Amino acid sequence: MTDEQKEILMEDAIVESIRRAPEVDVPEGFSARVMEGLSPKTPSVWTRMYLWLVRPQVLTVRPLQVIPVATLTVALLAFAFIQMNTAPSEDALRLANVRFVMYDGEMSAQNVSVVGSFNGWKADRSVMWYSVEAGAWMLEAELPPGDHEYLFLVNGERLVPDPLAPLTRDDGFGNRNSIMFVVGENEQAL
Amino acid sequence: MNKLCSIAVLIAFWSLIVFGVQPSFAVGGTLADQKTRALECGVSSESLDEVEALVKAGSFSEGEGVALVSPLLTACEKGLPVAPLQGKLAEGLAKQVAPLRIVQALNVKLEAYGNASLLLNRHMKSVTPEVLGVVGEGLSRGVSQQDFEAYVAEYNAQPSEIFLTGAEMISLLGQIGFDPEQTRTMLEAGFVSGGLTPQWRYLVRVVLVARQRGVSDSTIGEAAAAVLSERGTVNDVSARLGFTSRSMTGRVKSQ
Repeated sequence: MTDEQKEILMEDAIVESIRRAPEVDVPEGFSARVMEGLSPKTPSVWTRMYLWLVRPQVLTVRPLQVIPVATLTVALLAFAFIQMNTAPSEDALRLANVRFVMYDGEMSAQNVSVVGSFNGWKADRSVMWYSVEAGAWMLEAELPPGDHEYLFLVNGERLVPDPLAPLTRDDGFGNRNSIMFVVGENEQAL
Repeated sequence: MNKLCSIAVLIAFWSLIVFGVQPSFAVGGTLADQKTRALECGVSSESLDEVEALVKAGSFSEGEGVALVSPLLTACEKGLPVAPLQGKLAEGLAKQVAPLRIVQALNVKLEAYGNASLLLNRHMKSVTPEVLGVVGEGLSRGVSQQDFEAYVAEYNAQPSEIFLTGAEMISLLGQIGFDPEQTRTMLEAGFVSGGLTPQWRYLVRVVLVARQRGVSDSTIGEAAAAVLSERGTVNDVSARLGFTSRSMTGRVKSQ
């Protein structure tokens, strides 16, 4: 008899013994104990995230709930838009009128500009005009409060400090800048 | 594992596209690289373009251009204010100052702002850009770090606007060499009485005029401290010293 035939005979014997065995009721609580013994298979975070992303989601809403939320959202967006477009900056509100004056009774200069920290030291942004009555080059401007450094640029080539400035300051390059204090609405008003 | 790696690569790739994250090795020493980094950091293009144009025109060498942009980039990457350095750079270029001299001036400002940041962060939980600007400018203009340190250590709990006013007074008065002991006395009086308003930052104007008239710093300081104790104004200091608060340069006012 081969091993295979032996296995078949053994299986037949087992099956026959099971058939002849008396039927007994399942012990009470057996199913629960079996289920408790099983640990549920928990998918990884990535798997759950992936499943959440790819599975269709059903969103149930009531129009009565959506309308106030949508209205509030639109109102907030509109308010933010208006604020961004209309609210002037604090500095813009506080610009003060100032006047630069460089006396030149004989009008020896051909042109004079003011260059300073407030205009990026660009001469073309603050060109002065000559007042025959005052015998001086003049420029009016609006500047934010603070201490501003400046010089007069004469004929586009010579930098001249303001002799009327209350203070000069080392410019870090070996020369000095004039200082203008702007307070409130007027230059140098205290 | 393969899934995790794939997602990680995906996220990195996505970040690269969305946020423009640059690999750290994309750092170069050319002016173009410096400019790109500076722009990405938030430095405005005006000064950078001007430097680049001067290099292209042959006025500056490439190395000088890099040296001029470098302090701006360093300030930006350290989270320090860039505008003061840009202003100084623009000033130097407008005055046709030699590039190395401009670089020196920029580095002075950079160091001053770095020290100001350290000083303020030692004593304050949050440092506003305004206070950092005042202390940084003050230090760059030669005001004593000890004076700022003593002030910040003692008054850092004061309301921000008043604290800023006091810092500006220390800066402006320090720049004209006003006796720091007198300044401290004035500030103490102002904080105790609550009379230190923002207009007091320009007490320096009164000090300059008073000095021209031969009034000593101690007299000015005593007058200012007395007025502050009474919650008075800067005009009251002028009156107490015997002169009016008209336009102190004698200029014609615009209004």
